[in-house]
Amino acid sequence: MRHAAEKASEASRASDAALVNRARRGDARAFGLLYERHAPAVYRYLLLRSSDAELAEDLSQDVFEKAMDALGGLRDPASLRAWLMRIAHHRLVNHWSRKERRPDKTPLDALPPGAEAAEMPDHSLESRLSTEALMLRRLSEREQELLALRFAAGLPMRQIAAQLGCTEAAARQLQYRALKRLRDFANQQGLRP
Amino acid sequence: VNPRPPFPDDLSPDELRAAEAMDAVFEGLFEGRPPNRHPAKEEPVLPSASQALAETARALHALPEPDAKRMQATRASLEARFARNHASRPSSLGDEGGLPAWVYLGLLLGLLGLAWLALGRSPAATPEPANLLSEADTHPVEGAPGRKLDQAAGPDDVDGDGDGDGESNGDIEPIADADIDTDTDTRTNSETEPVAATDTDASASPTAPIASSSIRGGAPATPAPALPAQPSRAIVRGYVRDVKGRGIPDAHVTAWRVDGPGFYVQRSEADGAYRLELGAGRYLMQAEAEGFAGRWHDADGGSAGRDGAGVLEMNEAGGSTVDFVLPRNVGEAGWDRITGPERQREPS
Repeated sequence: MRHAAEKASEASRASDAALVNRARRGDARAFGLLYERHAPAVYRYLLLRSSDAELAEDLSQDVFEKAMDALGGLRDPASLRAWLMRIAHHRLVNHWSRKERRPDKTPLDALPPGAEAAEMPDHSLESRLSTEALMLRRLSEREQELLALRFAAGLPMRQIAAQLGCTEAAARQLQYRALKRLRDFANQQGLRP
Repeated sequence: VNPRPPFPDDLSPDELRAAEAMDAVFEGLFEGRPPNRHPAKEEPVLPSASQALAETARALHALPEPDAKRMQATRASLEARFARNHASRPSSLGDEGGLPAWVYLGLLLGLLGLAWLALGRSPAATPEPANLLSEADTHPVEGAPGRKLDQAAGPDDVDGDGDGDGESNGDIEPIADADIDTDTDTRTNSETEPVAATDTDASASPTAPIASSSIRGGAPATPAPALPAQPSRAIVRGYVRDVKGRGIPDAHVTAWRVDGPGFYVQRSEADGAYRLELGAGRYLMQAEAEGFAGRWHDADGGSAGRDGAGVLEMNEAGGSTVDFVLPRNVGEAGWDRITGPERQREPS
C-alpha cells in the first residue's frame, strides 16, 4: 500500500518530458497522469474562449484524444502544455467553422447599457464565470487568445509570444492593452465600480 | 528585421513600465500570491490604475474548475483507449497523420523485393535495354541485312542501306522498336556465345554480341583485353585501313550471323587491327568508321558495297583473316549531295 502511494507520488512529480516518453512507449498510466495534470488548464482555456462549459468539456476530451494519436510528433515534450493549447485552439476554430457560429462579436458600444449582463447565459457553470470572462469576446481575436493563454492556461509569456508570433515585449504590451480595454468595457457598462 | 512592429506601440513609458511590472505580478497568480504584490518584494508595486487591471486579470484567472468526477471518467476512458491503440499499433511512427509502421515496413519489403528481382537478372544477361535487339531484329538475312545496318551507315548513306551507294535495295525491313526484347536476345545469344555472367560491359568482351548502337554510344575507345583463347571459338582477325593503307582506329567490325540470330561487334585498335571470336556459323562481315564509308567483306576477300557482301563460313576452332579498306566519306557537303536530284532541279 505504501509502495503504491510512493509510486503514485513519484509519478506525479515526474516531469512532462518523462511522462511523455513513458506514454510514447505505451504507458497508458503516464498518459492518464498527463491528462490529470493538464486537463484543467485546457478546460479553462476552452471555457474562457467559448463561455460554454459543455463545449469546453467535450473539446477538452477531443484535445487529449488528438494528443494521444499525435504524441509521437511532439518535438519538445517540455512544452507539452503549449502544444495542447495549440490543439485546443485548432479544435475550437474547427468547431466554430463547422457550426458556422461563434460567440457574438457585436461591438459593445452598439449595445444598450446592461445588455451584456442580460446576455449572460443562465447555466449553472456559466453563471459562475466572471464578468470579465464573459466580456472577453469583445476583444480582438489576438487579445482573447493572449489573455486565455495567459490567465486560463497559465502559459509563460515566452511561449505565448512564440504562439502569437511576436516578441515577448510585444506580447506584454498586448496583454496590458487588452486588460485595459477589458476594464474599460466593464466600467462603461457599469458592471464594475 | 521587421520594418513594422507587430503591434502599434502606443503605450507611454509609464504604461510600458506598468506592463512590465504587471507581468511579473501576474506570475504570482499561478503561485497563489496576491496579484498586487511583486513576487520578489512584499510591498505593492503597481499604481492604482494598474491594480485595477490586475484585478481584471485575477477575474479572468478565477475560472471554475472542471467537474472532478467527469474528469476521472474521462481519464479512465482515455487510458483504456490509449492501451487499446498501443496494443493494436505496436510501433507508431508518431507524426500526426502518419501511416502505421506496418505500412512503411510493407513498402520497404516491396522495394527490397524489387531490388532482389532486379539483381536476380545478372548484368551480363541483361545488357542495357537501349542497346538490345530481338532475334528478329538482329537476324541478318543473306544479302539483305536488317535495318540495323542502316543505323550504322555513314552520313552519305542516303538510301539507308548501309553501303553508301545512295541506292536503296528495296528489301530492307525496318526494325520495330516495339520488338525489342531483352530476354529473347540475351538468351539466344547465350546459347551460341556463353559469355561469362559477370561480364557487365558487353563491349569489354571481344566475343560478346552487343548492339552496334552501344558502340556508337560511347564504348571505350581502347579495345578490351582479349579473353583467353577458347578452342570452340572461330577467330576472325584482320585490319581496317583506309585507301592509303593506314590503319583506322575505332572502326566497328560487325559479324552478322546469317544462319542464326545475333551479331558480334568489335572495335579496331590504333593500328586498325581487330580480332573477333565467333561461334561456328555463317557470317557477313562489315566494317564502319567515322568519316569513312562502310564496307562489306566480299567473296573474293576484298571490300565491297552491301550488294557485294560475301558470306564467311566459320568452323569451330577455325580462323580467318578479313581485311577491310574503307574509302573516305564524302559527307553532307560531298559531291553526291551537291549533284543530287534535288540540287540538279534548281535553276542554274
